[in-house]
Amino acid sequence: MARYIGKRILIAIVTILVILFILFLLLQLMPGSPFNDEKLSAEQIAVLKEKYGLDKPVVVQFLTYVKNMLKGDLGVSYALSPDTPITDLIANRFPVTLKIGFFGMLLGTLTGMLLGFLTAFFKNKVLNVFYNILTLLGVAVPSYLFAMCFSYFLGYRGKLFPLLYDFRSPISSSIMAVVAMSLGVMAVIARFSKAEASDVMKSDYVLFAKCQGLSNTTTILRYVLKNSMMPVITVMASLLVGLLTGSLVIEQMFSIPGVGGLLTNAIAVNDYSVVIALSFVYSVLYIVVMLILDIMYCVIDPRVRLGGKPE
Amino acid sequence: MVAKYVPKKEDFVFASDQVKKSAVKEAVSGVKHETFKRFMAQRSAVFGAVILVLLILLSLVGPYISGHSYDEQNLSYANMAPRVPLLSGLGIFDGSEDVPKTSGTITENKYETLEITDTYYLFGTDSLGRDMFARCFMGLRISLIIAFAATMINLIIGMNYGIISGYFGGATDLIMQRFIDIISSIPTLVVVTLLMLVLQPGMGSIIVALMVSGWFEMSLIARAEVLKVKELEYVQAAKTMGAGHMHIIFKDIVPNIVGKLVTQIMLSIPQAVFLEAFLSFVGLGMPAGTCSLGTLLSDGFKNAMLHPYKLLPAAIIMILLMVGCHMVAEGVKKATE
Amino acid sequence: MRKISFYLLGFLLAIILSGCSGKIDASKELNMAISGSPLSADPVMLYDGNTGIMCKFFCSTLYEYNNKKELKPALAESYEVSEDGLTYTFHIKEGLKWSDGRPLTAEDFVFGFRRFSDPNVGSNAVYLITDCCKLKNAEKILAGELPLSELGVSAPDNLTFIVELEEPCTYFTDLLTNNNFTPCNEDFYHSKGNKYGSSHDAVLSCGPYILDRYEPLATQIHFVKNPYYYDSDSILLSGVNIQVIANQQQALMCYETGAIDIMEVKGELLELTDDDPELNILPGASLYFLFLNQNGSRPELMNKNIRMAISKSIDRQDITDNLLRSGFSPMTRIIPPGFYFETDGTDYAIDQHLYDEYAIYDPDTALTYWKQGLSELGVSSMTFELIFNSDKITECEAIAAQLERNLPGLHIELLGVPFKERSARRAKGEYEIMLSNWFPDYSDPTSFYALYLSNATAKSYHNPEYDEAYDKTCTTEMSKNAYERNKLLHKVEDIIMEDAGTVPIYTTGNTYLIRSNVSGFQTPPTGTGIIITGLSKEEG
Repeated sequence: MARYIGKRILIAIVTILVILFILFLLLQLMPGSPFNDEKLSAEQIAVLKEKYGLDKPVVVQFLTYVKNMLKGDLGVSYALSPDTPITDLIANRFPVTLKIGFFGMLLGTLTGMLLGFLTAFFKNKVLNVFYNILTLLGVAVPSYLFAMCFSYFLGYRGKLFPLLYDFRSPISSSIMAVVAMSLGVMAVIARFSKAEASDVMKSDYVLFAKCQGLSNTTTILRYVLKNSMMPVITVMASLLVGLLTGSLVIEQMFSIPGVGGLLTNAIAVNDYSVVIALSFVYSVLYIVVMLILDIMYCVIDPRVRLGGKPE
Repeated sequence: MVAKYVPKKEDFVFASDQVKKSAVKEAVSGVKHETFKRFMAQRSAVFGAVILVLLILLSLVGPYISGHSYDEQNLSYANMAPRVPLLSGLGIFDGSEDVPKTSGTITENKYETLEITDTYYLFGTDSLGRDMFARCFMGLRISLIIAFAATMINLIIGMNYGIISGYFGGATDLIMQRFIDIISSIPTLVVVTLLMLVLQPGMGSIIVALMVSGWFEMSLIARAEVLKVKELEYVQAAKTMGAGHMHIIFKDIVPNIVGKLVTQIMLSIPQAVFLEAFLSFVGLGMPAGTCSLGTLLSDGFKNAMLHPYKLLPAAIIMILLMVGCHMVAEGVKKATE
Repeated sequence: MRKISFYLLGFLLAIILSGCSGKIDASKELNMAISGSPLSADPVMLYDGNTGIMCKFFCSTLYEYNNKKELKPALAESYEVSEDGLTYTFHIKEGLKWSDGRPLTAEDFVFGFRRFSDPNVGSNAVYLITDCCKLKNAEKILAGELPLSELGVSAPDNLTFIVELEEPCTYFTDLLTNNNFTPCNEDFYHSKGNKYGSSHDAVLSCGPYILDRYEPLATQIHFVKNPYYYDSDSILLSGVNIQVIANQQQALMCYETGAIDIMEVKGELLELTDDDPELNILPGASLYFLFLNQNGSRPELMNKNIRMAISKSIDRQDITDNLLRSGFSPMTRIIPPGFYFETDGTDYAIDQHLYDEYAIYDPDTALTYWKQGLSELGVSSMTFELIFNSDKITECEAIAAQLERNLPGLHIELLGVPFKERSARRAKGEYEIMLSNWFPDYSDPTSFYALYLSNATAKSYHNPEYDEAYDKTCTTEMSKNAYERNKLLHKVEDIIMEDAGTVPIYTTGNTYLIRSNVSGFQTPPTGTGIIITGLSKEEG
């Protein structure tokens, strides 16, 4: 297991370096990055050059860049909020995005598992139709369309939830965003957990447990649920990406002061340094979450834990 | 009593080429037929396929059958509600709409106010008076072209990469897989955004962006299948009989992984359409003035409350496309398993 | 695993429920929607409407418009102007304080003005001190030829602030209402390093409210009443909340559910609100027009016939009636009505059809001009790139379609860019045709005329005759004779309109939805932003 985890960590580190290298290249090429802004005075350029080691060979420059980025010095904004350190821009926004993304993921996973398992266990016709419609809609409708329907019907017509994020009541004002983001997650998790649960129910050990005279409920609770829940972890990582993507549009819709809105704005005003810094942050977030899920899975799954390899 | 069989000389002669060919053909067509039958037996898959065929047909002819061109503006006919011949006589889709004014909802029919009751805009018009019907299907065409092109390039790159990696194994596989590990760890969102910043906005750039971010999924599937198929008896047999790598890969392995790949294609297309729409929303999509499902959606989004018919057709087309693709994918998956 | 998920579910529910019960009553504050995030909380960077609105709340200047729209001293008590019209001596009010309690003195004005003129600060609005008025040495300082200390501002004592100009400026106090001229405390500025203006902690307020919550690209900006404001008795609200809502429709839904009290309605949503009793069309004088770049990069645009053909093939009435609706009217001259008046009180731009000969929609004449232009140039077709703010895509699609329909062989490529990029391209002259929007910074036709001077930021129009006519209106002699000056001003417009040097398209008032329990919401006659004094909201 240690070897497996070690390998994953190594890959993660190499990936981050590769990403940094790509971003470094882009930063050199892009117009309007802090390195080649014609508005800068000679003095400022000298300071920048010294800070980023621009007068040194490219390799040294790259290493300095890597050091700065890993230290959390993501450079300064060029157009959005000139000369503001990007770290300052992100500091207040990141927690907001994380919170909403986390709850969206959590809600989607829980409801998805519930839906998937119930459909697999009860083989009820009505439930199955319900399952089919929900999962199909979940994958077919982009989260921003859901968000729009929610704000129109629940927020505007029903006056049930506030239409905008408000720092004075952050939780109630982000419910609609969380639910809209969770539906896509729910659909995928539901499909996956239904398939897993059906497989496990057909497996030999469940059959054996039944033959031993264990009741249906006990079997399900003790064996099926446990064994079909684990693989669900593996799909969560890929869902995270979808969640990040959806958050870009949704954050703007509900005026949520998160990183997604920052990225959309940075794209709109061609603030490359912010786009590049956010790309780095998103990548690191994604890689770290993948790593954690990988390790979690590896710890839980006895096949991996005892030295095998997950397929 | 059982008669003892005495082997004859002919029994030890290789079958003639003709016999071999016809037998193989029968077997292959049998498999194909069987798969097709199994696919057709699933109602939802057939339904999905019908939706897809209809959508593709409409994307080809849709822009021309409404009698209005997709980019012709007429400001005095702006924001007309849908009006459909025949149905309009029944009082539905007759061009009247409820306008939810802040002072109270009113119902109006612009076709009557403008005295053009013999004109029909099936999906209504946009704020510049362009026919939404023609625009929706023109948009669908553009989006489908983007999605197909991206998926096909993905398929070619991904399949070859996966097959080579899986078939040859060993150090080749190890290196190729580490590369994939790294590439796939970069979020799609980041790859696409960065590429769109570097490239000029347009169809080509979107295809490239979708391609760069999608090929490795295809390759992972191809590789996994190759690893399975490689160990099967018939491939081993072919190898023993001295078949070349190319022969084994293209004659023995590829036909066996087609099912999985078709499933993956059907899942990649909606993904590509999704991403295209998303790019339009964040302002990295098709340039101003062109139409695609993404630009139609993001335009319709802006005043869906005022004129829902500007968003709904494009949204429904996109959802149908998604649903169709997913149903077909599911069907192909079940039929080939 | 099951237990964990059970706890998590419970935790989630608890959070949701607690969130629902913990609502804060926002109804006592004024809630206003704006369409985009302000550029910066550093007032010298002010260059657009949204930043303008934000700055009005927490900044104050020497002169301001009061709630009767009269130009009144604000931080100043009074001023004297020298005989030659070049030296203004302002007497600052006594006992002024910044929002942290430190005294506000004339030195703060000196520092504020210097920062505005500092080339390293890089404000886009420096045309206010180089074109609109000529602050002594400002142009040379901005070009890096003189040090900042040479700027024509000084503070002989704490209560006296002296400004020197290079040319007389009849509307100088009006110009000073722009918040770019707000004071800035040097000690505070240096204590924040390079972070000044990047958060609510990094600015001091001298206006009616204190900036209480702000971050770059804020989606929500919050103000509380400033107890140190000199006229805090007339400030009737305890707090103001500004919501940035990019999507107009979302904003309208918020307005209807009561979350927002004031919002500007633009574009198609006007159709929903045009008979709403709470819709107010506030007077404003914003002009939308096309810059035709005549710096020589596109010789076709140097041809008067081509320019005339372009101007005369845009059906402005069609665009304002069918696309833009309430509050918009077509323009065939560059001065909108209701913003400057002759000496006898009549509207300077009373005859809106004065230049119809050169700019009214007339496809046949346009075609004649077009053909003549083509034969003069010896070409049969041409392509131009039309640059505009990304949100103006619909208008530009309509304009492009009209041009292409009426002028065979003309092809228009559309390019929507962010506001910042458009300003940058304008300043560098890197455009062919540009849809631009201008609201006057002070009440004088030169506010519009200055756009077309050879050395103006846009560098679109180069005509020595025009520059000369313009300069004639800026003399000391003329600054004392408004009647004669107005006559000369009309001549300036004659020159550019007859030459089709620019293409005016439409003007817009400010259409706002204002809840009936809100009173005193007004826009100033010139400049950006709103008038804060007298703004109030009744409960309920």
